[in-house]
Amino acid sequence: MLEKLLPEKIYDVATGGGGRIVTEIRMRVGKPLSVAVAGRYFNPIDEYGHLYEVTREDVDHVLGVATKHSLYAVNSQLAGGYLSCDEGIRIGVSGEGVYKGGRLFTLKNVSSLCIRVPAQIFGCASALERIVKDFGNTVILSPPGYGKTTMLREFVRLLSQSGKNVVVIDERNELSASVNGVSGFDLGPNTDVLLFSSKKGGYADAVRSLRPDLVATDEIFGAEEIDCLEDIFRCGVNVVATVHAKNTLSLLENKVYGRLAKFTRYFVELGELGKVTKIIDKEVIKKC
Amino acid sequence: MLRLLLGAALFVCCGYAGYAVNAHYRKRSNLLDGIVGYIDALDKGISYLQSTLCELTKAYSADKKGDCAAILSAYVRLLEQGSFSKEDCMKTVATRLLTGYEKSVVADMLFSLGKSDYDTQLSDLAKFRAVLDPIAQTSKQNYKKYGGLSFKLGILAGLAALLIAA
Repeated sequence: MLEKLLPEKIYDVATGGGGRIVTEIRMRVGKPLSVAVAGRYFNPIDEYGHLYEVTREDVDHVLGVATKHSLYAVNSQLAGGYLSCDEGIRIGVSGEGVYKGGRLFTLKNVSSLCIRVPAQIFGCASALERIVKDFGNTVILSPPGYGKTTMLREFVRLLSQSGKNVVVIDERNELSASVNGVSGFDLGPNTDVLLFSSKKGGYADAVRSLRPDLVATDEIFGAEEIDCLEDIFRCGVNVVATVHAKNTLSLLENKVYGRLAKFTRYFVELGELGKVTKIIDKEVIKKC
Repeated sequence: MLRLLLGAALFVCCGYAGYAVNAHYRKRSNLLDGIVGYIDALDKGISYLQSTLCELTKAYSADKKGDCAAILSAYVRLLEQGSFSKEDCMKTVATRLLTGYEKSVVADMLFSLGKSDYDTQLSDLAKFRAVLDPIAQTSKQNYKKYGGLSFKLGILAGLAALLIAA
């Protein structure tokens, strides 16, 4: 997908002719291309030793392929500042906002893109196996770019393998990387995916119709989504979610996100390159 | 005997010329009809399912034959290859059946597709339809009017040549 998504020249310099496993590519019009490999950024150089400067045409190329030349079909995504592509690639988009009826309607003159390439790393959630055995509501947290989604994907697979019916609410097709409704990543044998469903709508649908043991979702944001999680738990269904936060303490000190402590048992902190640095089990703290 | 053969050859030539003119009118009319039909199909597909352009184009041209299907197939190839320019779109509509202006309108339309939001896309399609539909209607009338006539004239001219030669 990346080969088709990127202009040939950018693909070559970014991946070193296809040999490098790239996790993120940042394209800013008029600025040098920036590429992340294993969490480290660098500015790739072309065959003449020059930094590759991103052009407007490069950005338009990626937008054209990412939208399948059908901007009208992904306008709501664009207004949300992102585009979902096949194979779970997510593109963060920034440009000029266009407002309609007082609401952000779309973006025009897109000036920069942040292309994130998902990966499935089997075994990366081995530190969470004890949570699988003694399951409780879990929140995985870290600052952006530390591998929360990758960790959640593997955790979901382990939970599913353990026999739990898991519903994944995949708002941006990042977790499952589905193509034509079929998951591109292995999310386990007992997993159902609600694709491109809003979290709010997805939660209700999942609990009412799919009878899950647990619901998993990525990047909860804001009070409304925490309300939804709480409501799911009230229904007797467990939840696994990721959230952006520096650490558990800073998360729980926040007025909105502090409410997670009411119904979350495990807080899993990730360090760089998606390593589990801390697991806080509320039950253990209570006993102490 | 030679005269008869010459007359027969002239008959075939005149008849074929008449048929060719008739075919030109027919193909042109079908092509323009097909393009207007494509706009209508896009309008429905975009407003209801919001399917991608490639899917909508493939679905529309699946049961079509002739020049319209050829143009749309070339367009699908462009969509699938990644980025493309307006010149690429002009190449897809390189047919003798359309005038330079008509080619430019159709190429503009193909190039503009999928580059705007839902509302703008539908309104742009309506504008292209407003330009192309009258041309398609005129073309249909011309086909009925001159297409059949040219074929008959070709046959008559051929018969006259045959009689004179005989």
